[in-house]
Order: sequence, then structure tokens, then C-alpha cells
Amino acid sequence: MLDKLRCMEEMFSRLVFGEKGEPAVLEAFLDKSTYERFRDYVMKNRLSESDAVVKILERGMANYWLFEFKQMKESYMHLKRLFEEFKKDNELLKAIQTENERLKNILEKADLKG
Amino acid sequence: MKIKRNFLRLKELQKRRNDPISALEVIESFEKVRIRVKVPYETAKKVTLFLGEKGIPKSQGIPMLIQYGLSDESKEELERLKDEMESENGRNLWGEYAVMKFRVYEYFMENKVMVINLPRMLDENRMLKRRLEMEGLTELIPKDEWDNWDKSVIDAYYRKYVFGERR
Repeated sequence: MLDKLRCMEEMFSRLVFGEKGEPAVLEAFLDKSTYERFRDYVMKNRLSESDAVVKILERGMANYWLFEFKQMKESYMHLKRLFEEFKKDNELLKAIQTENERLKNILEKADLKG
Repeated sequence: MKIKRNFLRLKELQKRRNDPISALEVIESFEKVRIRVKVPYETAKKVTLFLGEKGIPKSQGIPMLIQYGLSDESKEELERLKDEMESENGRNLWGEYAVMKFRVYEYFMENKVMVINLPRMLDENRMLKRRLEMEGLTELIPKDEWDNWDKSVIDAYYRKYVFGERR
């Protein structure tokens, strides 16, 4: 169990602090496309990798709500499409149920007459 | 900076193969690249506070901030986005989003229950139509979209609602 926890902990992005005031170690797991963009950013801006990470984190924090808003907007558009699709399915599935009830009523009435 | 492909050692991999959750973690880790850099104490503290205030764990928050920080929106695009976010429509959108999410969830759950009963519902529908025919009430038999549904249609509904697979 401890092995497993240690192994999982190794896979998490984290910040490891040393002495107060001393640089910390940032460890992050990035998907390949983000990692490639990071490499491009470092090359293009001729920064050390450490300086690049600081600038990137600052920009990420400064625009956090804007990116959250952008993602929410995209997610909302996707949800709207799902809503229309699920609503259409719902109406169709309910129509089968409703029709079954209606046909049962017709047959019951026919049985009574017969 | 230390860059290391996060392949687990073969021994660990073999040990974890039997557990499905661990197996998924291993697969996921294959697709990630680990970066390890030193950052100033002040930046590390600021990131910790920032994520802490929002209740976001560092394991998710650090890659997310890096992803946001690397996005290629220009200053003008960010300005436009800011104006949109601060507009009345933008402010209302958060609420509309929450409502939409709930309504989609409601439909999904309701449809799921109906889809589980779909084979029975269709059998019943066909049986009732046959009975109407036998009773000589053919003029009352409706022509429906689902009359020609075969197993593939039912399977598609099952995949969508019961197994949650998207096309």
C-alpha cells in the first residue's frame, strides 16, 4: 500500500519547498502538446527554463478567470448541443411509452365491446 | 531543468498490472512528460496561495496554470474576452451554464432508465400492433419511426445512455 502511495505521489505535479526564502522545486506532468509548446516558448523567448516557467505561471494566474470563462463558454455550447440531442431522444422514447398506453386502452375498450 | 519521461520501472509496472485503476494511471503517465525546474520562493508561495484560495489541488492546478499561461491568445483577444466576461450576458452565462448542465444531466438519467426498458417497450409496441391487426382494427395501427428499429439502433442507444459512450 505504501509502495503504491509513493508511486502515485511521484506521478503528481507538485511544489517542493526547501528552506524559507530558498528556491522551490516545481515538478509538473504535462501532456505532449503542452510540453512541446513549452519548449517552443523557451526557444522563442530565449529564456532559461526556470524563468520561462515563472513567466508562464504568472500569465496563467493573471488570466485565470478569462481562461475559465473561455472554457465554460465552450463547454456551454457543447452542453447546448447535448441538450437538444437528449431532448429529441427523450421525446421519442416517451412517445413509445405513450403510444403503448394508448393502444392498450383501445384494445381494452375493444375487449369490453366484444 | 530535469526532463524525464515518466516510464515506471518494469518491476513496478508488473506489480500494478492487476489493478485496473493502477493500470489506467500507468497508461496516463506514459502520455505525460515530466518537467522539473527550480522556481523562486516568492513564485512558489504565490502559486500555492492562488491554488489554495480556489481549492484546486496542486496536482491539477500546476499543469492547468502552465497550460493557461502558454495559450496563444493575443493581448487583444484577451481584452475582448475580458469585455465579454464582464458584460451582462457574460455574467449571466455562468448561471445559464449551471442550469444547462443540470438539465442535460436530468435528461441523461431519464433517458437512461427508458433505454434500459427499450427492448421491452418495443416488444410491447409490436405485440399491441399485432393484436390490433388480429382484432381487425388495422386503421388504428400507427406507422412509427421505431417500427423498423433493429438491434443496431437499440445498441446505439445503449452505448449512448447506459455505457455513456459518445460517437
